[in-house]
Amino acid sequence: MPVFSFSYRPFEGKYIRRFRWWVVFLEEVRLWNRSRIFIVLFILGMLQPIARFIQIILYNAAIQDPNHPLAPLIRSVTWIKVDNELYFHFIRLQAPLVLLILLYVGAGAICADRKNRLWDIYFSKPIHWYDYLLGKLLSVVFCGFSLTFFPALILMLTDYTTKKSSTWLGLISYFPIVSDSLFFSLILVLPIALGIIAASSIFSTENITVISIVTLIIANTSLAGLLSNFMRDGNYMQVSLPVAIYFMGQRVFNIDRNIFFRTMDDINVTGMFLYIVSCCVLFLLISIIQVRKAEKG
Amino acid sequence: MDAQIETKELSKWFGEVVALNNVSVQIPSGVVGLLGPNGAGKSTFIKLALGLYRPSRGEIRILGKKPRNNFQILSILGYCPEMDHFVEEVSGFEFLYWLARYSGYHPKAAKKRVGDALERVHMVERMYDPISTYSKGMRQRIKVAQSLLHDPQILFLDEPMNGLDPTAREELFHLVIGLGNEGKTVVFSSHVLHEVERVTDTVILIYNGRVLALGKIREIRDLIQNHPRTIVIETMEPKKVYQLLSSDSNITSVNFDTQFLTVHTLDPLQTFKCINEIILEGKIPIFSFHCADEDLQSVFQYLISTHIPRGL
Amino acid sequence: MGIQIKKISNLYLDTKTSFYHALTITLRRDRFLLMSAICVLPVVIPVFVALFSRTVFRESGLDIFIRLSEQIYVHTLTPLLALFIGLIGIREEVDSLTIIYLLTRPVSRLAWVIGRFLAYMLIASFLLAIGILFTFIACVVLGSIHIDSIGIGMMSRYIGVGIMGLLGYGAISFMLGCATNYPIIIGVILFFGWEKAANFIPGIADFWTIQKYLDSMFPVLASQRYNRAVMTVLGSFQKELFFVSPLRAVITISVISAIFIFLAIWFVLWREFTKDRVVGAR
Repeated sequence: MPVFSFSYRPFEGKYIRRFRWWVVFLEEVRLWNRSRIFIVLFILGMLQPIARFIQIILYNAAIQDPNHPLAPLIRSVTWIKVDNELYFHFIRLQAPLVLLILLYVGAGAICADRKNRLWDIYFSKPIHWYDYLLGKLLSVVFCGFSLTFFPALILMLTDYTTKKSSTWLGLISYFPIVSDSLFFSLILVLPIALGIIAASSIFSTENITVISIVTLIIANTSLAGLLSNFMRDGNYMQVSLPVAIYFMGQRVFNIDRNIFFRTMDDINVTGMFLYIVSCCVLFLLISIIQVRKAEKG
Repeated sequence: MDAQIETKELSKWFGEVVALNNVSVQIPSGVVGLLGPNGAGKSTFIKLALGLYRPSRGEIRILGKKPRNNFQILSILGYCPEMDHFVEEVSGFEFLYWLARYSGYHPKAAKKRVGDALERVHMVERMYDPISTYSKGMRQRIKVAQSLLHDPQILFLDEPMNGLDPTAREELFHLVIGLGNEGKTVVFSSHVLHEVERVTDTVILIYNGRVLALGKIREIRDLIQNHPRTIVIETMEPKKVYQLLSSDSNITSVNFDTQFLTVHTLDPLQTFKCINEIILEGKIPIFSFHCADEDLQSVFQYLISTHIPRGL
Repeated sequence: MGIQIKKISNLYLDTKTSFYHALTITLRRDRFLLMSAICVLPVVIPVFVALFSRTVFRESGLDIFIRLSEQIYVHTLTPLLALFIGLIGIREEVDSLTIIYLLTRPVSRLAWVIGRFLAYMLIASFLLAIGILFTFIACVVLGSIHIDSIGIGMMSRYIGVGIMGLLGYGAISFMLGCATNYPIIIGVILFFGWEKAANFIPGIADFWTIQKYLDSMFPVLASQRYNRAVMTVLGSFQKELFFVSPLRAVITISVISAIFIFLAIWFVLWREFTKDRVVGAR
């Protein structure tokens, strides 16, 4: 048998030893940001930030200039006011589009890999199940944040820069709003992203994943609504995950308006928070089990 | 020629990409090889023949009739697709059973046909296992079996050898040749040249959506007028043989080896005549000589190399 | 386009084959189990009320049954069943590309679509009927509704309305499944966006919804539904609702269904379902 003195050229690049999920993340982002439908949906998602941007500039211009022609009008309209409530409503109103876009980008994240037999390729590389899952999950979360938290940050920056009395120390006053927005965005995006990833790991096609998520949300909310109506001695609306997320957002931003509940007395905030967390843990467990199964082949 | 499949200026485009361009061919009965590299337009041609695609221009007729949504024509067509998609949860038997039912067989007859087809591809042992547990080769056999279910008169096999082991390949070669001998038309698509050569000597060469040639391999070869041919001469004194051949102005280049002289010529007949004269003179012993580029690979490469620069 | 009409006997056989095929495939799917669970889930509400409600002002069994039947079964679960079983059933063949095995068989496209539609109707109607039946029995426990001719008649009527809903939503779902590449998104927007929004648009926009005709079939006096209070950011207003008789509603839904089923068949005949486009195409 001949023994060759030359073999394959050794790899001269650098192996990534940590953060291997980054490759999966980049691959996923690269996949959906080329799609025309994603671009259209994203543009739709950017309409509100643009409107809010104009609102902040107009409001700050009018409120700081007593001679501004629009000043009396802007002062008289309460909902145009720029305060922490603006960021709450901004993130809240983004929620339907966030769900739609996350369904679009996340529904096929895992099931398409299974359908196209890409698992064999992924797991033949030095990528573990946690790199794969983390990459997929973070790409969906990143997409959600790019419609909620990141634009909110830009809006805060706009607010800060358009205020005449802005000082460097004034930036500190934004920290509570930044943390509130981050928390609300996280509590909105993470359960949706985890739910979609879990459904994508269970079901065979994107369509089934989407309809399963929609079914669960509608069934959960409808039943909670009816239970709340029939059971007049308790606030059963808390059972609805979307309502729980909405209410947690209200709590974070200290907004006391009551929309879904008859009384605010018997609402268990900790219980609601734990309900959201347990849903996330359940979704995560489902995803982990499925992806680990895939890794084992 | 009794054309089973006939196309006239058949074209198919997807947006700006032309998949098939102005194809006019007549395919006779027997086994016909559809040969071309990946992305040449073979699968598009087959799908147009099956009526899965509508032609963008021109027409395709099977036994004189348009195939799209034509149930009479579809009942005599069999198709083994290239892609690998199944209802994964069902068994091979059940998958084929429902396709047999769709082909018009009653339950009892359908079961019998499925049994026969699975036996033909040696899948009886595993027929009740879910398709998701099958290997690539087994899935390929199931695809071939479903195409044979209703004993079609015209069969389209789109790259059927993919994933098959050598034994299964051999069996499929025999199966295809057998079907051809039975008088059926088998369109056998492949990008691997020797696969096609094993089952037929009639080929359609497709490249970039155009038909480069159609006919017997030798006939195609003869069509190539100015194609320099390679002749390998086995001799102990290759340099002396070359000196004697140097009078032949058709020789374009030569290569020497210790025992071989490889000659590229524009007119092989003239060069063969010269070699014969050398042998008859008997001065230099020539052990053997043969044309080295008469196989399909050479024909194909020649056709591609001459057609690509013309702006295909 | 040359649509070849086969003999009736062949059409019947093709429909039967398509029907049984769809039935056997759908019944073993995970989503059938999920949908079965969701259909019987509303039963927990009357049970919950009976076991845990302490208030003296709790709703009666009759009220709970009516609201569950209307709001959950007819308005929510009917379109969901249409999307989940009808649309996904036909879309699965397209997405997994197994449709090309069927399209290369001498099976009538008309029979294939109708067979699948009948299978969907049978499965979805069964799930809906079982759900409504269990809910009815659970509500009987709460009182003010009994297992007598009136109670059973009311339950049957709700089942009938649900089946009409499945017919209308199902036909639209089938058409979407055959016509578009993003049927679920469009279906959700149509059934849970447009259908709900149209109720709040002044005028006759609600005539362009299935829900309008389903509401007309409910066994409650239609006069109670003449006006609807609509609350908006700018204020609230009364929307006048126009009455449609139950018979007209049944005819309208039947016609709508026939049109959409015809469109679904036309799309199956017309579209090219093979996705593997030529190299370089987008």
